[in-house]
Amino acid sequence: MLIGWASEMKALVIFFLIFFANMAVADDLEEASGLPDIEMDEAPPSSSFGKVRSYILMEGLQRRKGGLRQYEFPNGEFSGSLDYSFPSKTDLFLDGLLTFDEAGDKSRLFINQVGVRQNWQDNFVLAVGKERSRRAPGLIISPSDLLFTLVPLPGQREDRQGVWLTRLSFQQQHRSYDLILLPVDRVDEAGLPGKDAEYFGTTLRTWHELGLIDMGLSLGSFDTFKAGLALQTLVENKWKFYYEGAYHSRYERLDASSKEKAFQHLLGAGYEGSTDFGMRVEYFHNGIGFSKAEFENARQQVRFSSSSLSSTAILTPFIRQQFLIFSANAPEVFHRYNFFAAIVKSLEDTAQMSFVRAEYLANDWFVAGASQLFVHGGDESQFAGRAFNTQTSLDLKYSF
Amino acid sequence: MERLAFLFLLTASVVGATTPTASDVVAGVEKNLAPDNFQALYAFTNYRTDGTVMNYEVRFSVKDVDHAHGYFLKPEREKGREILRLGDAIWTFIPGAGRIVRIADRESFAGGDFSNADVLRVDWLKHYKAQFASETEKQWIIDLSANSSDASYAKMRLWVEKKTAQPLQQYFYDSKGTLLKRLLYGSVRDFGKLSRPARLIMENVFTTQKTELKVLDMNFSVNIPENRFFVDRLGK
Repeated sequence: MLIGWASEMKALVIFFLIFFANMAVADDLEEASGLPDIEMDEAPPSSSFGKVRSYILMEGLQRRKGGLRQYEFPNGEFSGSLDYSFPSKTDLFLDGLLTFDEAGDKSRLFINQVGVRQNWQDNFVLAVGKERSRRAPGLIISPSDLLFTLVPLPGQREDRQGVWLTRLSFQQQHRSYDLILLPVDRVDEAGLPGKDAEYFGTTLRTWHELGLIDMGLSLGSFDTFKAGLALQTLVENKWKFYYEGAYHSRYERLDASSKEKAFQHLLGAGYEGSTDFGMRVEYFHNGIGFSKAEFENARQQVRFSSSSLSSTAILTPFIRQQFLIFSANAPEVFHRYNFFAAIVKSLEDTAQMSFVRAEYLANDWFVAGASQLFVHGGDESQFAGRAFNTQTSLDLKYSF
Repeated sequence: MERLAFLFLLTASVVGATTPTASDVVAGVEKNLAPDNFQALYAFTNYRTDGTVMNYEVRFSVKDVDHAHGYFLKPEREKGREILRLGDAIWTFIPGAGRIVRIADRESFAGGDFSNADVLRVDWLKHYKAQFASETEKQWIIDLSANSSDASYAKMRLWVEKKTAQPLQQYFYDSKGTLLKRLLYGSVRDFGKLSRPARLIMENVFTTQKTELKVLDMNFSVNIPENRFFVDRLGK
């Protein structure tokens, strides 16, 4: 009751404040004085090194299952990227990562992206190297994207890994066409072409802005034929609706069985009408996944484990066929805190993954974060063989 | 240095052999605040009521009101983020994920009190009807009433100095006539081709929070390539 009274008083005070504020200005036709002149800051000189981004990240993890606890500290990451444009319309780009993994007690250098882009007459681009380009709208999985299907959950570890390619593009303001040759089907630990790498495939990709609808279409000739379609629209500048679909002429699964002429469908809706929060809900039909009978059979041959799950990389959360995905985010709460939550729920068994994350924006350079990942699932579920039930992570990132 | 907007108004006066209309005055202000084809460095400082101060620096490349590209230089944790306006569509590039995302045209630019439209779409005469509310010896006071549903505000009131044709103050109202935000202009600076206020402070009347915008430089002798405004060029 006290709370109700306080709310009413607060509303009354706000009403009078607004009322008197408007009384004061509604017919304000007095001369304005503007702002007093002050000495203005000089513009800082532009960087002569092109676009440079870098960060250092420290992370600690705790994984738990029953009474078992596993700790990893410190895990570290140093990332640097450089994009330099010559007046001749040639761009050089390099994006590398140095990681330290406490569990394996080893560090490694990894090339995310590297190469050269040549632009002609504004509309033509030839890119050679290792490059990343993503536009599909899916939250955690984008079946229509034949090259970058899985999306990491929010976190401070960045995921900018590209693919080795030669890309010829014709681009205009509201459309683009890409022919992409993929000469490498596997990379080594450093992200360089693997020793036994073979030609991976060819992709044709197009994107069109058709009035209120954006459409992306991809055709891929790999060892099988694949196609992807993405559609998205924004309604009333608040609601985002999207569909992603993929067709696989044949798909090799984890138990070496294959699925012929399989489709994947992702249907999503999101609310983006507020600067204070956003929401997404998705239904994912995974036609290349295992039905109940197939899953029972496959479990005899393969141990499905979620040990590869982490706060930032989900490799195989979609083993079965039907999922519901939900996320909510609240950026810059009290100006300094970001919050994010996501749930991936299997609609065929009890498997469920929940993820919550909070970030503190300490200043222009430092962001501290805490994440918690929960993995549930009964003995019959795709997460039955999971390596942990919860994973807690703390991280600190310095950007410069 | 000749002031483009002042010349515009002078021409309008001489040709018409009368005082300029409210639309003439507003057109002059628009030309100054949002000229075609320029690059500029804007610094935003968000002052929150709890004492929090957030700084942003964005390098803008602008072709016209329908084509604008911004690259975030500060804060360091946001560096590399890009924003592209193509007509009514807004795209952003998230460098941490190497991903291009279409987003809604939100009310706030960089978490401050300026909206995207306040910063990137100064094309008032397209969405508002201008008429004099009052006139003093030194200033015009002009009401801009929305004539399309695309307008960000139901009404705006603009104070313009006659001598310089520069804006001094602007009020923003909703459809009930409630004052939402107050914008003060100052520190007129010569940027070569034109002079314009280089310091703006937008105040939200309800929250009393403020955002200061400083125009650190403007460069008109630029040849912005057409592909700067292609969605596929974001992040590249």
